[in-house]
Amino acid sequence: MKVLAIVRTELTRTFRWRANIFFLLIMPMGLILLLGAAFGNSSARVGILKQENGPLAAQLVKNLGAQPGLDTRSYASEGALEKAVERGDVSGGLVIAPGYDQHLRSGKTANLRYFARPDSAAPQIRVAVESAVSAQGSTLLAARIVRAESGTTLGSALGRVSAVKGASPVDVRLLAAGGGKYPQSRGQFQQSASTQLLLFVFLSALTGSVWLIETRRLGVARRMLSTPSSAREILLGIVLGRWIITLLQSLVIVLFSWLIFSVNWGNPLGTSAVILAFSLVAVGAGVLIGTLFGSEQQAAPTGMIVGLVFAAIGGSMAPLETFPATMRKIAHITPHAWANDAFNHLLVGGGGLSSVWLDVGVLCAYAAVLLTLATWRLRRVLTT
Amino acid sequence: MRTAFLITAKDLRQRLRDRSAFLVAVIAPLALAAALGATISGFSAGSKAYQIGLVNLDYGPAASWFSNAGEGGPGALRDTGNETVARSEVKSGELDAAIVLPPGLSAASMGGPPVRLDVIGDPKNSIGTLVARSIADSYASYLHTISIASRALHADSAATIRIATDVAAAKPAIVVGDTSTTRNNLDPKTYYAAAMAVFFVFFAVQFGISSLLDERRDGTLARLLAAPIPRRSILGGKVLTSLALGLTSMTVLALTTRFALGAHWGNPVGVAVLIVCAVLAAISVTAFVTTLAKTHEQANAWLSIVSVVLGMLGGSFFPVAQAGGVLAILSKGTPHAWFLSGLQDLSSGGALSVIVEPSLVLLGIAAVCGALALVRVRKLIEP
Repeated sequence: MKVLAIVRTELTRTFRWRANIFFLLIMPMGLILLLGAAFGNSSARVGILKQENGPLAAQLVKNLGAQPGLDTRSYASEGALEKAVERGDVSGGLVIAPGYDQHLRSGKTANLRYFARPDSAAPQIRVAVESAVSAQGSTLLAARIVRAESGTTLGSALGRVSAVKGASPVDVRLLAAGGGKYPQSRGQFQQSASTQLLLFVFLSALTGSVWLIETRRLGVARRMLSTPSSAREILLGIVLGRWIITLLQSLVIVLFSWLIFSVNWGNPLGTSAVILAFSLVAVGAGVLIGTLFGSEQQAAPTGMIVGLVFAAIGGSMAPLETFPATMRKIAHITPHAWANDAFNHLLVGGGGLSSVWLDVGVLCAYAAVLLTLATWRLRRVLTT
Repeated sequence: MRTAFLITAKDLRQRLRDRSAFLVAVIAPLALAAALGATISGFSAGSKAYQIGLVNLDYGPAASWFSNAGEGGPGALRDTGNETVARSEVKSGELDAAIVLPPGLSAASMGGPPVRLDVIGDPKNSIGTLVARSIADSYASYLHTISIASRALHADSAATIRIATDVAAAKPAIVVGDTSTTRNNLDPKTYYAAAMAVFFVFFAVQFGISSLLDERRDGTLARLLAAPIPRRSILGGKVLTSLALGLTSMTVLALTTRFALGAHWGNPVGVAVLIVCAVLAAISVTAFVTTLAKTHEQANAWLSIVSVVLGMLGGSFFPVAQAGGVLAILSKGTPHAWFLSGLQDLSSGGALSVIVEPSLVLLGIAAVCGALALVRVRKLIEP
């Protein structure tokens, strides 16, 4: 009972302060809305600068526009295209230089210049662009062979090639290694919802350490100790209170993103296990920071630094699979990396609870170590 | 003036002593810029070689042409025997993906019935799958070329094999040259260094004006007002504190990332002008928000909210402009977006004139918010 009373005090104190409602609930939802608006559509945009007016260049632009998952926008100058790529208006830019048609008609190799933002969508866009280009390239190459073999002009060879052009003899199909069809790409936004959840839960648990310092500064802790309650009950109450706040935040993010953007959260059991374990890690880290510093001015920035840096290293800002191999190993120092792996098994691999037992186990070990350290420190700080 | 300096010196000593200023102004942006730079730039370098398995069930001439398709790509091809082995190796992560050449592939490329080429990938390794996919696509396009040419020429199988050799030997008609990695202006290290610098400067300058509320809570403001010090000296001292912390933060970050992390900030004069304008804008915005608050706690909470929201809208964490529409317009209302776009133009080798517009906008924001803050600030410096 006493534990519950302490939990209730923690919750009341947290939510009475309205800024907390903003940070814990409104800000993550706002960010999810923002990300949804920014990356919600799965088509990638490519900017095209067409400096050639010939029919081959026009056909290439048509091919690009017809690529699934690719939207094209035309730009009038190189400067405008570069700026658009730099600022992220488009993910990549393709320059069709003057003389493109003439190069191709005279049997030379035409060079297209391509550049992209180094973001996680870049490789996908590159493949789509290459595919549109190679469709035109293979027709031209075939025409060149026909010209060499039969001695006609390239123009009539192109005509002959176009006449027979039909279905490709080979159709490429993607299969998942585990069997069955390869799942459709879920779009950047779908992927980012789980990584954002981890970022925010950890960050707010860490900046919540300020609360613990206030508990001590205002003498709330001393007063609790003066009542006939054991230190263990007080510690349990504080940790449980923080855990409930963190879980509440996760629940709001999951429900909100699910209802508004129909984000898929995978197997409910598996996802719950990951969230329960990860938020326990976050609470442990938050309480530990709260006991290591004496003032709010020190704890708040430390919490923010650790929260954001761990998120960056742990794959909550850029996906882990895009990391270089060594960086990916280093990433697994952070609980984020394990939780992101677990979400990958659940959401991409479509696995259940059994697919994440290792990741959840590691997270529980983290939680155990951090909570042991945190309660040991907390007991010392509160009672001495 | 001298008293203003004394107040500034006192504030700076206080903030240095509890190390909070150092944490917010230097350590936080540096740690984040380094972490983001290490994880994001490593990816764009494309240094990784992908292991792609090859299962050959065709045994015809078409399979021997396959190696042409994978040449020069980011994948290393390895023969894997049968499909079961390939699947299990992809699943275990030994291979990034595998390609299965089906029976009848050679026949298909010589006019036989079309076949299907399977790419086996792990959905958790989408990049590896994509690499295999692009090799398979380019191979399919190669077979497509052979099949069109041989049909146009009505070639028999011997002639088709000759055509295949010709196609393999021919130079590609169109080459896509990727220049992404050689471009300084797209360097994520620089982008995130700058983004973190401007994000955290909004926190760093808070130690100035908003400390007036601390002084009031601690009772030192009453003592300052009782002393023969003009009010503008107190205010001036606080603004100077913000200015010192803001400029130090951004300068240290620019220099450290330039020399230790290899960021390219561009023309130093232009960078200096942009930094000064951004710090002034940050001071005015935070000062204005502070004058709206009644207590120290309220000011802290509102300042954090404003700083975080402006940072997110301004593109400190991800490119907001990509969203287009309302978001892109909202983004233009933040000092962050103007600072970053000015810096991007500058680092891509633009002349000094490119910073005129962003600097003027930043100064405009500083002037408007500063004026509003000045109107309201009286309330802060009252006993």
